[in-house]
Amino acid sequence: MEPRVWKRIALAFGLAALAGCAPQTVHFVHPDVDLGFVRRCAVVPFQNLSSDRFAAARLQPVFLAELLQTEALAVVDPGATLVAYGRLGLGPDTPLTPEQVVALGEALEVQAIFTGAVEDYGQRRSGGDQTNAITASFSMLETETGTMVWNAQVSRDGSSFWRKLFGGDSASQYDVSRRAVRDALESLF
Amino acid sequence: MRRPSRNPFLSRTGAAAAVLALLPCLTVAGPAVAQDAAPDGVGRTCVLLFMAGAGYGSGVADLADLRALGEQELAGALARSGDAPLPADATLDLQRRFRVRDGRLLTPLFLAGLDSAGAQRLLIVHLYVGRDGIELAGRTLRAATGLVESAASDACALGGDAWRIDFATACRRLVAALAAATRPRTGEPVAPLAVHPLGFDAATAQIATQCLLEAVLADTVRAVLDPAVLGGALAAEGIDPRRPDRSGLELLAGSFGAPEATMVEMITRDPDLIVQATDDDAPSSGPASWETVRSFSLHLRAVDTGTGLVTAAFDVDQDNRPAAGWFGNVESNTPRRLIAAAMHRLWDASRQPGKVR
Repeated sequence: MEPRVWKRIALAFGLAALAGCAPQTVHFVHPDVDLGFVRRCAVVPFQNLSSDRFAAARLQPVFLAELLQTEALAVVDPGATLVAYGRLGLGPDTPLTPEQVVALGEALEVQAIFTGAVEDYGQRRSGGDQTNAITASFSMLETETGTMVWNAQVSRDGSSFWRKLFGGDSASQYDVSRRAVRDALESLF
Repeated sequence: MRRPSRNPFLSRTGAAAAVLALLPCLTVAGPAVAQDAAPDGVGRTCVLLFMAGAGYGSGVADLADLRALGEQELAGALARSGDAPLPADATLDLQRRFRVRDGRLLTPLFLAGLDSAGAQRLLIVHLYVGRDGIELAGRTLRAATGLVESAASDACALGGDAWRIDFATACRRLVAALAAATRPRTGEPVAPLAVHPLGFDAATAQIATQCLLEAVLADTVRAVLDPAVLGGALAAEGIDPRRPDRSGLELLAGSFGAPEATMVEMITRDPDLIVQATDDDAPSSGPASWETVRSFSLHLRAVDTGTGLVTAAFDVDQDNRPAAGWFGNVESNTPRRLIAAAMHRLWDASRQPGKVR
């Protein structure tokens, strides 16, 4: 075979491997909203739709840490956010209406609110292996009208091309969560 | 003429019995002398001893006896190191008057009461009584300022005939370690709040708070405020110490001069585990949860008390699997060691240059 053919085969293998490793992130950014006006934001308690009762509580501080790492926005303390939640009679697992988003924005003096929902969290069977996995969605709502300006749904697991090839443990649930949050935020910043 | 042979076991048992018989006399004598010899004008030290996770499985110690022995030994060790402990009845009176049931919340009223009773320092010790051992966690703090002077931990076995001696020795070691760890501290104070647990009981959270204090004190020369004093001040104003709002942060800034508050959450990684909070003094029939800690994650955030904004956030994940040593040896970890290791990693991460915003 000619060297050119070998190159094509190698390229095909490489693309297949990359496709296998690619994070599954679907996102939306509102085309008519300029995010430049957002300086201060709050992260509200995440919804938990998974069977793990602490999944949302674990994911929210990871999201907060990753959001701070972007150095794009100032974030109000989640303690103050929870107090404002309580004063408005909101529960952690209730989706926010636009009116509630506006009220929260006024109470916390923020221009945007980040929400999140953990849809799947824990171990997942992939072929013959068990890997840690997470599926979650995140949104950013602006507090003038309560409109959603960004949404991302991300699904990640602890498997990798090299792990499939050579074996090894799955990445920890914590690492998988961190990567998922990072992938989601990369679609915004 | 043949001399009668001595039985070494009997002689050792006799000696141990004699020491055990004399021990209460010795321990009572120490503090009594020190209380009488307390110099006027020099503040005394109030000794507060609390028990957590108690009542399980030991079968060796009467808990009231253990508490009394601990208080005597701590007061005696303080007296021997030159401090003057507050008399036990005065301490009990203060505890009853201000309803101090555990070392987690120390209200401003209680601290003022200490001052009026002539106590300027507090020695707070938590005993975690387990299946076959006792863990001691202690800290000393200034009553007037709420600043921690030192924090240290120790442990001893609970079993056999000599457990009283082991326990007494551990109490003395703890007081010595606390005295050795005291060093001058300056600058704006660090304000760590008590660790907020999710899926863990109050005793585990208390251990985690102690580990946080030890990590902070070991790392910095800045003054460190006591989490129980901060929690008590917030609670006295009707603010939830676990999640202070803007007014709570302003209180920390105004009353204690803290530029930032440090908040740590400890969340279980076990999806099925939930531990109901129980009265620490109540006996329990099951294993004490602080002895069987599960994998967990720690989440730290630093909050600016002036603006209410999060200035830094860090996490660490901690597995509870035994560490594999050389030649296939398995090194088991106690929950305290696991939590302490994770807390040190967390605090180190939060101090990395370039990461703090």
